[in-house]
Amino acid sequence: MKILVTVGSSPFNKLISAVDQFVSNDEYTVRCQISAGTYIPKKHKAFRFTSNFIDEIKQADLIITHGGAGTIYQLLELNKKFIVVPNTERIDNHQTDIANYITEKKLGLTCDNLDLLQVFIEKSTSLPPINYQKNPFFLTQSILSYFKE
Amino acid sequence: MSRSEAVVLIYGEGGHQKEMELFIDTLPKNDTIFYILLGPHKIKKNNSTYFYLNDIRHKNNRLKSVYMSAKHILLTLHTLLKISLKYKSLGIISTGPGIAILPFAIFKLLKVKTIYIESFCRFKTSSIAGRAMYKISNRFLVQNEELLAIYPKAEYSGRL
Repeated sequence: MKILVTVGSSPFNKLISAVDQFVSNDEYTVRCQISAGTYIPKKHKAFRFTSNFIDEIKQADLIITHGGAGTIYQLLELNKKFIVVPNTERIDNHQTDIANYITEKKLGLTCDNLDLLQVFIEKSTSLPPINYQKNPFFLTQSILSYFKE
Repeated sequence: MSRSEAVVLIYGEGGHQKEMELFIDTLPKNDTIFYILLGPHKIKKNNSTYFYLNDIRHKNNRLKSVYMSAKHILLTLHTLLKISLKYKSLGIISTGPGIAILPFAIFKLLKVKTIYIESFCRFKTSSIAGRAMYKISNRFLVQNEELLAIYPKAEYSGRL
């Protein structure tokens, strides 16, 4: 199984370190996007950023992601299986809001305890296909007309 | 010399920039408006110009946030002065976060129309930037209907 781990634009050393510690490189092929993180994984391949992020997502069977909404919606729109790990290293600590939404709507898994990461990876294999319905942004014309008034 | 008309777009890092890029994708293909982009990283867009503006705080370090706030205030004042000498702003849109508070307050005083799009990462909680912008902006849009419980006068916009 191919796993992509992504932290978005903010470093998330705890997640990368937990992946390195708990996720086997015999059983899984893991690639980690670590941003400016200072923890460099020893067992798995790592890169800071990529211009082909969408290809990285498409090639992965499972994505372990920080709680960044931009990434999560991208995964939902591509119908990818994922585990959200809210980044509690951030000062604003808002990532639990979308993580709760994902759990409530059964769109993915949320892992708050990194010691259980391996359990969540096994659990993810039995996840049903994602059924995400987006109601697209519909106020662009209204905004442009408002400015022209 | 007459100033040319423009719409100002302001965005912070990470998801906020992503949301602005998604908003730009929703603009009509025959759109003739000129845009001024203000943010920590450039977004490529036709018919636009870009000015650097740093976020108001650091995501992981409070000490760096103090420095960033001071730099943000000076840079905002300097950049808005440059913009207002050259352009007549028709309106301003931001996808947040705190980077937009000061520019919105200044534009509001100048009677420029302001629209804030609250981040799609919010469902049941409000942010400091969100609460401030709810009071300042002319139109406050939410991408998740759950937020209407916190911001009753907001407009639901659908999701970027």
